[in-house]
Amino acid sequence: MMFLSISLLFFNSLANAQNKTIHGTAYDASSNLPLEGATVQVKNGAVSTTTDGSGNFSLLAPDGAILIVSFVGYQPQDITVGSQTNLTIRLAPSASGLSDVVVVGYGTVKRENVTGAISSITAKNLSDRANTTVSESFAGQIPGVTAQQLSSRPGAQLDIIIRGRGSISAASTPLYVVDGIPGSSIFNINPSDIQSIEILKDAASTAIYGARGGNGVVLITTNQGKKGKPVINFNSYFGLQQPNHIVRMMNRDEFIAYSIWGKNVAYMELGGSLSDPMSARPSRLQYPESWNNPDTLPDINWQKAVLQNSPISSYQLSVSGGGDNATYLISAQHLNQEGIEKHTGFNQTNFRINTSLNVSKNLKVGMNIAPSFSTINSPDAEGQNSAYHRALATPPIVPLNGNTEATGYVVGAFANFINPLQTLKETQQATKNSFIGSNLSLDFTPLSGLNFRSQFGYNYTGVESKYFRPANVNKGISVGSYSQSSRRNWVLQNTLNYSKTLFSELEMDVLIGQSIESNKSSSASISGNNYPNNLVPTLNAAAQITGASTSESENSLASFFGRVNFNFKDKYLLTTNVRRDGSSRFGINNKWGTFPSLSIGWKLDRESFFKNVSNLDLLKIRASIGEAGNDNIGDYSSISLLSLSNYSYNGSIASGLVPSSFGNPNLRWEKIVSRNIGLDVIAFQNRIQLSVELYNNITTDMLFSRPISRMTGFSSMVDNLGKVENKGFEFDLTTVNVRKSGFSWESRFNFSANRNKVLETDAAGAPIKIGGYFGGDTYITTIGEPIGSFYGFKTNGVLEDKYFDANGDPIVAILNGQIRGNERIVDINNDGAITEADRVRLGSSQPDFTWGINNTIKIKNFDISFLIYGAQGAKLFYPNQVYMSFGQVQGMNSTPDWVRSWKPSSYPGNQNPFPATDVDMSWDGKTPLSYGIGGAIPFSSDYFFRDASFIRLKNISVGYNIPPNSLKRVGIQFARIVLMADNLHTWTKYPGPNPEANGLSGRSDSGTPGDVADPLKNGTDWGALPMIRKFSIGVNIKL
Amino acid sequence: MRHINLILGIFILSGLASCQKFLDKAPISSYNVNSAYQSQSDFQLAITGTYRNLGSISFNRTIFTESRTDNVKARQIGSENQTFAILSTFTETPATGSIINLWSAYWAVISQTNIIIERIDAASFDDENMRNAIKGEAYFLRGFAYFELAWMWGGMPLVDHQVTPAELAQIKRSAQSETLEFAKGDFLKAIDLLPETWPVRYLGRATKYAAEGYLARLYMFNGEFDNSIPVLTDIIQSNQYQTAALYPDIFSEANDNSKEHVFQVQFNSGAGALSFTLPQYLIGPYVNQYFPNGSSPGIFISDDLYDAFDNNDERRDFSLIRGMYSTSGIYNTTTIYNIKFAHGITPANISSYGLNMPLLRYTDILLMYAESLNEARSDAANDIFDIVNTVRARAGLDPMNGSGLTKEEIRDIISKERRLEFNFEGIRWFDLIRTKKALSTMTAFLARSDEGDAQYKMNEHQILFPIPQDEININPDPNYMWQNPGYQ
Repeated sequence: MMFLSISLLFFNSLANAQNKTIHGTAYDASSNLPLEGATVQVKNGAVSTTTDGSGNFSLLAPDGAILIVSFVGYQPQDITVGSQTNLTIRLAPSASGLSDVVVVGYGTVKRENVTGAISSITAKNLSDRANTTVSESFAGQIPGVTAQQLSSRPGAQLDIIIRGRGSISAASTPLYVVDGIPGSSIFNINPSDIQSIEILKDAASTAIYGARGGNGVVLITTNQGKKGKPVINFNSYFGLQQPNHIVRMMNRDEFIAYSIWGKNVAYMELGGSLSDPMSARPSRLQYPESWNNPDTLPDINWQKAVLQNSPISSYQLSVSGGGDNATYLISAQHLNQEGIEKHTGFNQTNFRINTSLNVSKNLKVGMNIAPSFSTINSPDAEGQNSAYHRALATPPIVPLNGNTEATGYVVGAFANFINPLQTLKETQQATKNSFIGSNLSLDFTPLSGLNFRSQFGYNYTGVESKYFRPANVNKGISVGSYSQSSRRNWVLQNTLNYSKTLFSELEMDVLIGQSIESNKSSSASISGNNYPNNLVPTLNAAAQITGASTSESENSLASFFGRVNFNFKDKYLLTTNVRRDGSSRFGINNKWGTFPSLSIGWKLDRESFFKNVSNLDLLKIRASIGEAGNDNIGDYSSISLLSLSNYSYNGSIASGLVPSSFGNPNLRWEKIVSRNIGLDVIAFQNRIQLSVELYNNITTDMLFSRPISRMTGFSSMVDNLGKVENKGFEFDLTTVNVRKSGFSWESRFNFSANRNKVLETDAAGAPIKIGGYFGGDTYITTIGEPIGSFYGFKTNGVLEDKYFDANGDPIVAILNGQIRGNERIVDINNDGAITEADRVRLGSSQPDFTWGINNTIKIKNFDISFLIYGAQGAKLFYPNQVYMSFGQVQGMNSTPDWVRSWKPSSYPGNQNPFPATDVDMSWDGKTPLSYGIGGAIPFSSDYFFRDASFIRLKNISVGYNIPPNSLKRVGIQFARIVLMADNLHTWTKYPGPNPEANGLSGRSDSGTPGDVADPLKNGTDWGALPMIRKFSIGVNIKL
Repeated sequence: MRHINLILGIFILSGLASCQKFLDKAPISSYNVNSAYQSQSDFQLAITGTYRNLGSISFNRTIFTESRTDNVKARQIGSENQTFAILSTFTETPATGSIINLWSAYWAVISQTNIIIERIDAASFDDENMRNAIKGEAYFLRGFAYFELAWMWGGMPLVDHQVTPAELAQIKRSAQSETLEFAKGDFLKAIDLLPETWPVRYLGRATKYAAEGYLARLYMFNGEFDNSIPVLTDIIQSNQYQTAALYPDIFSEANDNSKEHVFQVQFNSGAGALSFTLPQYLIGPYVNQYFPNGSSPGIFISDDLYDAFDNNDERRDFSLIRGMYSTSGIYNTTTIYNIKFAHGITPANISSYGLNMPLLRYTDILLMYAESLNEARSDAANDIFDIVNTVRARAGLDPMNGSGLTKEEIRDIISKERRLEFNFEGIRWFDLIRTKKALSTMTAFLARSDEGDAQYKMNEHQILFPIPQDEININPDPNYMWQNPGYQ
């Protein structure tokens, strides 16, 4: 704070130059219609305004000042203020994007002068979508950015990864910077408040964020009020949501037929005879008499029972405006979403006040405050053993009220699979998020070209979670928990920016800055069980408190940074950045790191040899190199910690402490060196805009919790090791196919391919193998392959009779314990046995390429747009299927392919294990012997790694703008109605409901949503919910 | 003006240069190593923390080693994927499930004791006896870990100080005999340093006699019965110990740390304490009088063990129960479970018993002594059968007359007595291996018609467990780390 006050001191001592009021009107040069919202700014000054509904503006400007009039989609104009005080300005439509201002770290730059790899999403791309979250607007829109819908739980965020996974440590999530404040979250932002989103992809753009820029940076700028009379904007949509996919599971007849067969076969395997009384069998192999008459049993589709069609609605109202001394924007939004899974839902209320005060000619003070409150209700909604997982696995013969403590458990229904519908209904699980983002800024422009900016931001995030699961749906034991966590972070940053044109042709822009930042987190949790009844869900009612804990942690960051931009003759561009970061997270021997970058650009079209090429608006080549870091390793990884390890002496508890982590005083940030070559072409008066990028990012010194020999007493230590390369290609083409009066058609196509390759692991080059949920190495990170590839046995059909000799001994290599009908595993090394050495890489969850096409067609007042995107070449591990494929013997429902699993040609004693049924149970020629019946099952075989490529029709919208003339009479400036459909269809071979289920998130395979990401075991789908298909209608009214 | 502003601005920016302090953040909610291992109380905490490893060690070693033997059915329906079931059918691979958990726990003991041994001499102690005692405990626990690793996995890298992963990778596996020699050295140091008894409030910590008992075990593993006799004699003549009057007394909380017990794992059912999970685990998913709610997964006892007990042997019905119950009533009358640890106070949480787990009982000391006499001395039959008959009498069995029996016959009698007396105390597999009877016993057992008619076979190399695959992956250099023969 001291710095702020010092700054204020010298700002006040400023002399005022001679000013006069300038009036003017801005028009579209082609249509001659007034332009509303054009920005009029005094060059190198703090004073700016915007034109009103009639295109008029007025502002105070010194004599001889240059006014810059700009508007999105138009070429800006410079006007020198002479004796005139009333100006008429005609703006020509420009190469859209060409002269737009792009937000970069701690500043802005004209798009045509960008030398790094930066993509933008503007407010235009954000509107006309019934988006629940900001992250949804990333999907399919930006080359080099994968935005995956991991989950359809209400309130779930998309997982955003920029240019591939550059790290094998916990997180590859980009750094989010909201209105200049780093470390913010995008969860709490009202999409309608966003003016623009910039995605910084190469290190030349991100190095200014130093140790946190390595995964890319997302800059979000929120709307500010504009000078003029108040504008009231009302935006609302209402939609109906439905699940887009119901997984085909066995129906009653299939289930019964298959189960009876399975139980009979398993009993015969034990040496039993089918003529034995049912009571002689182990209980898991018994089945009730009623199964002989399936028609008497229920036939429930449990997925349909827990899923529903549900409404979503959003209301947003904002008022903005301003005068000479101040601008303001206030907005509020309320979103209410019921989940497609029953008893789940999400609601969020966002507020925002953005103000800016012109304290004096040279001094501007601004403050943004944006509180956000949300509640997510999702009682055991998704993931392993969630209600949805259990809905898949609950046999169709369980009645809708069955399988609870109150109604008892149905014979043959695996007791863990408690009625999912009742679970959803009776379990209370609510997460309440409170977020307050506040940010105070001060801009001081003592003289033309010199700007000092000081910004102080303070964010508070609070999360409160409550959970109560009554005894009825938890096998007789009621459990509850309550937790609260909070995170407070503040940042103070000061920058000094100086622009100057030297020698008349060299524009120079210099920035130096400093920031300090502190993050503190604390959490508390209590859990208990044995509630007397269901009436009081809070923990005061629990008979036993089973756990109570609080914890705190903190980290801090101090940084210095600078940037110089040169623009020579408006042809040659050069930018260089450097940042020095010190972080409390790093080891004592490596507290500080330096992150430099350099980028150059050459506007070829400005050269004389291109002068004669017509229709070329911009031809720019650019190249960059830079270094950034990733510091996502937890706050104290460099320090050896001790943990409590209590023991007892003489029956009394005795405290003990043992080392619990292997410290590493050399621990440091991971380093990402990125090289980027880009080409920008704009031609035919903006009708073709093309950007192509080629990049190569090499991550070294990766922060990595490396498995170490247990002989050290530990299983892992955090270390800097290994090298990973991401190289790729991005293509972004926007074309205006038709531009006629009353009819236009614009398409945007993007394509990106990223190759992720491990170049080094540890010194010995040893592969990192990670076991899966079902045991056995399932994931591998090894040289030459993508991080966290799948690893397992390759199979080739089924161990049919022909693979056994007359004695019943196998003539092909089999896994120890396998029997006829099991999967035939390929003996990769041909040593005659199936061993660990026969495991091979079986693909990865990282797609080979992703693409998207967005089309917008405008016909008079109508407009239609649609977005299709896809990802090709990714695989997912589908343990959910493994789990359910254990099937019948455990009493779970399975996918219907098991009905037609391999069958022996004869059974012991010529007994017939088949029930009388119409169901076709013959072998389909590919499905192995059912799991749970016999033999050894190679759980990590290629059978469970499924192709997750998909093409999705993400969004279609049809809008109608009500003609302004008819609205004027009722005082409305603008009104629009839009019909939208989201996730209409997904084309995929993936058997689960969501081919993006985990994808790149690297969520660990424990199946708990929100688990800490572990990229080394990427892409595991534990019962993800179907995607939401949504039909909505929206209105937008501006007063 | 302009210059003043610039200078001021630069001044502000550089004013922050000294923010090193701002960047030093010590953990708030965790203890950190740099502030520990300084004082007597730090070492009390450190040794106590090390003892805790015995919880998971005793659990896993009991399950894994008993499953290897003729005490446990070779195929256990419904638990095929459990490590114990895989071990019981001799179908394990280096990647098999949780073998690594037992391995890791022993190595945790070694690493934690190495820190203590390395740092304790430089620490400030108010009480030098306590320094010696803690050091002795550290040597004992390290010796215990190496001894167990040696007989279960063979020769180990001998790590006697704190090492980094890189240093460790350059320490080669020693021969089994070298590892045993190293463990012996630790036991001998422990015997010198440890007290004969502890004050009541510290009951349960290792004593000199616990170390002697383990040293005797080690000698017997090596077949050095001349060496085991004097050590065992020292324990017996100390008069610190005495056999419990009744077999059930041994497994009652009231008799925890009583004179029957030379060394026990200290469990406590209280919140935050280390509790005994084995009783619940042995019984499994089925409902019975001990576990009205059922649990999982349950280990099935072999008929071979059940039948080995004499019908009047009171230890049988105390230890084993026949018949399986489920929520829907009785489900068979044939399955056998081990219930010997489940007789005492049933805790609120059935996976948290407070009973101590015996690792070394005085009865064991006596039977070890009897066995050593039989192996190393002639005409000791009277002394031997005094001991055997004491044990038998407690079980309600008639005394045996040792006269006229051959050394081999007596050896078999003692061996059988040990199997029955110490069923599910993690003794049987060790006994089979050291007496070189593992392969023959298990081959005969697996050939039984109720054990799958030789569907499963034990191979000679399966006397040792496979080195966990993770270790081979981490250090693939065969000059330093290699898989045990037969498991490659």
